[in-house]
Amino acid sequence: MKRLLAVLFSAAMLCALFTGCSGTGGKFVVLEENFGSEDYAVGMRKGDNTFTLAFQTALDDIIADGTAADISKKWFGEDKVLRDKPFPREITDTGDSSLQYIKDKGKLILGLDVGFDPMGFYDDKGNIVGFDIDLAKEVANRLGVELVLQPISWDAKEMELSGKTIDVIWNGMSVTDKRVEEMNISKPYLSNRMIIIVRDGSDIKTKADLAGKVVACQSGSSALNAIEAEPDTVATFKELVSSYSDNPTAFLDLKSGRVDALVVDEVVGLNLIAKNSK
Amino acid sequence: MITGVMLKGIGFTLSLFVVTAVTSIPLGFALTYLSNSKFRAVRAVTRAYVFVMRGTPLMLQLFFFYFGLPFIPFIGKFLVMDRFPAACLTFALNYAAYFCEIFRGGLLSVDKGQYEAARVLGLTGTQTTFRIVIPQMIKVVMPSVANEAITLVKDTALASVIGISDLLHYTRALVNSRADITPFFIAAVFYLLFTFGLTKLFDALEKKYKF
Repeated sequence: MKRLLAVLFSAAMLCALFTGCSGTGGKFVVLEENFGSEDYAVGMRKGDNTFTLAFQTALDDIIADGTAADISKKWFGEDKVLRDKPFPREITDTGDSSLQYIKDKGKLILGLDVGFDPMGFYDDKGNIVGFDIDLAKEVANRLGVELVLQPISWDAKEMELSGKTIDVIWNGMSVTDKRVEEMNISKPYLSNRMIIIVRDGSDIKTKADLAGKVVACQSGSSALNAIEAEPDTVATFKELVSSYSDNPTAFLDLKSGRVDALVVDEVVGLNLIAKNSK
Repeated sequence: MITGVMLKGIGFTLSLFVVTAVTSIPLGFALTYLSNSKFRAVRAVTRAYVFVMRGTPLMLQLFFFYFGLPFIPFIGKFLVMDRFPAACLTFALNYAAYFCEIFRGGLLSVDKGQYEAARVLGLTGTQTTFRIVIPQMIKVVMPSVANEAITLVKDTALASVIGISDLLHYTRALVNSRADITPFFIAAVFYLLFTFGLTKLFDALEKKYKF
């Protein structure tokens, strides 16, 4: 009897879990208006100026000869690569040993928080692929070193960098003032708008319609920064829910109707919508 | 297909579990004996060790052993460990502290009369420890050890904070990139299967020590 009960309870719990996982479909639309845009760039150790400059020269070459445009077309269907952007913080050649360090090691260790489709994620075979990865392979090629992909926890990225366990952070990283202060940042290579996603048929058509609605975004994200940069708009919201640890969970809440709109990076948002409609 | 990708993470989860279990149990046992030492200083050091290891979060300890140690002046450069060894060391040291307390509790549960009887029968100290005390202790601590082992299975997921690609790492990466939470379900099944196996193992062990 006891055994039977245990089996029944386990089965019931598994069923509940499974139903919770499947969720409902639905369509989504992206509003014309957005919360400004942010730039993506590559992070390197602060003070590794010689390496940063050599890295940038390689990246500039890849952009100039059209390789980057091809990679962009492969992942985004269009050429979205930025050109002729300045360094967020001027990098001068200090003649330090950072380039020699990478050359001696023969490896460029790229740290990424795998799971950011289409920048860096696992394909069906479990290999790490993506726009950033293709670009990085090309850079490593031109620097004459081997590219090593190291999955890291995003929260520990600064520690990984300063502890020399990785050499670059390359994972659709937004340029922020704090990061410019804490690391060497390459020239921005991609621009990314902060789009607003709502359910199809929602009465939200413009940014002003967000008044009295529940708006969601990922915690500590660049989307949150972008929203908070417009305090007057935020004041009209019914609530701003920014406690989601990642965008897919926020998206699930949009799907289920707990929130009315989701503010998210364009590349992530479009991908979420595309995955959902499959 | 997704399951195939997730299987790549199971290797790390399993090996971290095995290495920790195999090293922390003897280490915990040694600590138990140190905490019962005749010398007050040894006892104090052991107590302090257990206090620190049990009193701080495992995640913090992982950060400390992996990122923190290399920054210690002078000796730091000799303490640079790869991700996996660092995780194994942290888990072993952390779990040893818990096992130390479990075994200490087990020793306390052995009645004083047992020692007296052993002495009357003319057994030596070593014989008393290994033939009389330890078997009785094992019987008492078995459920707690099983408990810890199951906790350990799930704690291995913490290793992803220092960039170890364990089962949960692949699960989260897949959930994030596919915007679909089926991998969570699959991971839950993997952990349940693992725990089920352990439960069976400990049931068998408990039967063996039923006397």
